[in-house]
Amino acid sequence: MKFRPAFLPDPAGLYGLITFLFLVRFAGPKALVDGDTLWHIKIGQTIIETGKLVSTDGYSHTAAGKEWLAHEWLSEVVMAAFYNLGGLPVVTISFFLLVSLTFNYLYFTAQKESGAWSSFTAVSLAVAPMALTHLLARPHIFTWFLGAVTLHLLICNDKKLWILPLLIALWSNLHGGVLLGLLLQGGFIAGKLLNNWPGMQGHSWLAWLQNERRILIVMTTSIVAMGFNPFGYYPFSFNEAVSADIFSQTIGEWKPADFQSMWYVRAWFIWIFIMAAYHAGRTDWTWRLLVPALMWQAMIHVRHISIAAMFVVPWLAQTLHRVRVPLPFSIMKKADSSGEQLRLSCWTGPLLTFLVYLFLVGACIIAPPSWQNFAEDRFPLPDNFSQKAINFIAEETPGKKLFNEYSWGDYLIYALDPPPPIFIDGRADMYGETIFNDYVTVSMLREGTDAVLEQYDIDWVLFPKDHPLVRFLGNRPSWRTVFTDETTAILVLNKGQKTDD
Amino acid sequence: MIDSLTIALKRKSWVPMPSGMFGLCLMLIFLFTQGSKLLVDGNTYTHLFIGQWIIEHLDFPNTSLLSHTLTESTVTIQGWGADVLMGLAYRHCGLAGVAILYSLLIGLLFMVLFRVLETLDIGPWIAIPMMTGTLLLLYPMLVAQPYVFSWLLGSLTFLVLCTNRRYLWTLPLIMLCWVNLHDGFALGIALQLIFIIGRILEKWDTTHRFDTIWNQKRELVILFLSLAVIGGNPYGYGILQISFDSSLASLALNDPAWKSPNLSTFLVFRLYLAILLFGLLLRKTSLRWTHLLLLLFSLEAALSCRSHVFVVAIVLLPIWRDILEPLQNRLSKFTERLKRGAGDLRLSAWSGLLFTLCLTLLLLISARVSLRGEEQLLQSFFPVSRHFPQQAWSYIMEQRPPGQIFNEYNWGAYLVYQSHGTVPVFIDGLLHRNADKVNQDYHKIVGLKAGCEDILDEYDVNWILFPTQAPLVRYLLVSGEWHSAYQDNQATVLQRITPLDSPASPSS
Repeated sequence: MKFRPAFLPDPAGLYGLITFLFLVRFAGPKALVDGDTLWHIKIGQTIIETGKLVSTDGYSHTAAGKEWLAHEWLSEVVMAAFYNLGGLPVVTISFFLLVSLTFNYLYFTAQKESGAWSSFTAVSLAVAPMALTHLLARPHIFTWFLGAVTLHLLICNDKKLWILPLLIALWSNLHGGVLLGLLLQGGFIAGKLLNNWPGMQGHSWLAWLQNERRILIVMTTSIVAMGFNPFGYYPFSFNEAVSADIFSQTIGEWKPADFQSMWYVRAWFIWIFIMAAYHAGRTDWTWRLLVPALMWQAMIHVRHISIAAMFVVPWLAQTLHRVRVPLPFSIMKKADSSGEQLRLSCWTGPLLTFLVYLFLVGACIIAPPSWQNFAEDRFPLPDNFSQKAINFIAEETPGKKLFNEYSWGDYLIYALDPPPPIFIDGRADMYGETIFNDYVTVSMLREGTDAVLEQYDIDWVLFPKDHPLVRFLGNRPSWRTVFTDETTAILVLNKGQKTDD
Repeated sequence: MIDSLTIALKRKSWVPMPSGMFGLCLMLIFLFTQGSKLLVDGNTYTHLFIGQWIIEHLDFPNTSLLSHTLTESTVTIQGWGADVLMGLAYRHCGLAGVAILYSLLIGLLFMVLFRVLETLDIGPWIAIPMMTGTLLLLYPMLVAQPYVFSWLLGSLTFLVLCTNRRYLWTLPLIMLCWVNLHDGFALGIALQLIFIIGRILEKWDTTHRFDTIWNQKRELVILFLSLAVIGGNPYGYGILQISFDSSLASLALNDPAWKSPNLSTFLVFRLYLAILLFGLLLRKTSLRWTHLLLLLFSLEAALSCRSHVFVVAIVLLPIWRDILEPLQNRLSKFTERLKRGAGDLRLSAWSGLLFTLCLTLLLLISARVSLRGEEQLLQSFFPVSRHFPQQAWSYIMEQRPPGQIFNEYNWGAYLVYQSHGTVPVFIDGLLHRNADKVNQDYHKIVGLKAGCEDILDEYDVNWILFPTQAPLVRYLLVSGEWHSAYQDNQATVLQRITPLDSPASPSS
């Protein structure tokens, strides 16, 4: 029989390629809407320039010199390297490549235990819309990808499982979501234990340990490997630090989902419950533990919805595959499976995606004029970041101690070298609850606003033009407006005066 | 002695069933430990005012008298029956009467829900923890508001639908009461529809399609009658349009009760959903069509809107029964032994209800006596909530500042209640539910959006009653156009330094 190499992409690969093209065309502005991308790039640039890791704050006057560990240092270095190569478009496109590979992997994993159509439905209706809730060019995309690889390895449960500790070591240098890798491993081990509880059906503990020794050793090694980063086991405390009430009530991504406006999240949520009700009796213990655990996280923070949607997808596809709805009418005919099957390759799709990626990155580096227009249109910074305001500050910094809008802190760090000492930026974990709470007090004009402004000796303010704080201070004789444009206002405290004069 | 008591118990079946006992105990515990919590919501006071007005004038109040931002045609009084009942309780027994009325409703609600579990053959050892869980889930929403009538009637409808056609003919009567008590009556129709569709799908036979539907003829007739009696209210079938518009308007409100539940802070609901999901994954068989439809409907309702969480608490009881079936079977050995110990003790399904009603009557009489007496002992248990600005109100009544008021959303109802409508408010949580523009303007002012001062001018606002801590107070004081006429830790009264030209006296 003649050997014919398969070169057509399989559905998973094709799905990844289409996802990539779709993201490049439509999702650029959404991916850059968050200011955090900017400070990550700046920190990465600092690490590359100095050859040292950042361990203290050097940008704010509120936490100057405070110990702060850039625990996502590797992501930041990678982002800065891409930025130096071709600016924000290359950074964004690179993250889109990672997202499309994640989708590819999840589709592939789901397909292993179900059918093509059920995988397509699960990925398209669960993963893709939920990913949009947190599709930002930031290091958590590494967690999406590495989580998908971890899930695949755990489901395959073969010799490749030994890769996991290496993956965890890499992950712990890229993003604090490395704990998810351990959660998945723990879920699979607990599932295996409960599926074949020692003592039942003649199994002994020794036999169980013997059978599951590989995954147990891998998990133990993974826990050790998690400490293989310059800051040891710091990521453990990072997640706790940013889960404090003040952050989860104020920062958008840490708030819970608003099911009323995010109707698609509500629909997905209900879908999971309906599938759980329908799939009864066939779910093994791994998913019985992992599905509620992941959904629990999704209920608390909106940023965890995408994670939950991704990692329950093999179970969802499996459930869809087994659904036999006793409908009063037949909606599908069985496909004719006779005849020669088309041979498909699982490598062609990712390869093609990568080639398209290389082409786009090449265009960013060479930057012909036509491409430049496209890049500016597709990967813009948010409108509220005013270049005019940056030029004004660059000419002469209006004061010493700034009170700035939260996301503007990121932009100042990114756009000015050196930036003026800022009040706050996206590194909420570094500022801690006290400084963040003070920021919230002033920006919401809560009781104690004047006291906070005085406590930090604030002598100039940079805020959106329409924000109440601008009018609040503008109405006072002690403050004057020195700059204003369509989006931004800068106010300065008159010399020798106090805020509440 | 014990033998003679046992014989007496056997002869008379007056010992209440666990459901009756649970409802009775809950009512008493709730009244005397949480009774004042029932009166913390502002809307309660608007309902009380409207109820009293209807009783006095035998007509609906002209709501434009109660608020200077409403025109006469903007508001309809849905659920007038609940307002009248609240008005009667208040008129004759004071705020204690209102608290007793709602404690009774809560007791009856849990009595009915417990009865649903008994109908589903769930023993008390599982039913009591389940009811406690349900109580914890509903606790944040347990206030003296007419939606508690909807909860009660919804659970009653559900009980009837679960009892296999026995009391099905009561449904149109329940619907007739419901449509006059609260605008949540659509739930009754939805539940009937779900049961009909679910049963048709469960018994679907492709060869006898018509027969499958024909078997549901009684349910369909009841549904038709229930739809017919919806017209039995002062607005006729127009109530459907009114309720629909009102629901849409409510969803657009910034009121937390009409927003989706915050699952980060609403721990009990999050826990409920997580355990439900785990329980569903543990089950060995798929759910019936009716239960699947109930799950779909209730989750959609509860996740869309916090005030609909009660739907989950009521209609998912049969699903919990399926989930807890293995535990029920294990416990059955133990309960069998207990039953044998108790002999053939007969329990009454009605005595619990009867005791509860008698006790309520006694409490109402005590409240009336207390209201007329000098010591007012029972009344002192149920004071007006301290969340309302009582001292600032005293100042307002003394000074009577001229012009229109801008007030805090939750305090509007309190002003309506205290002033008996003589101080037309800017906004309250009930009358302004459908007033989109007023709601939007209110939030623009409170959010200190650009042009908020112009909106205050547009409504001729000359004085403001707002919490002292609110940014609005600090913002306006700095603006130079307002001064603080009164201030305490809770509330501030701001007055314009130069009043607008067209003031209308609050006492006019």
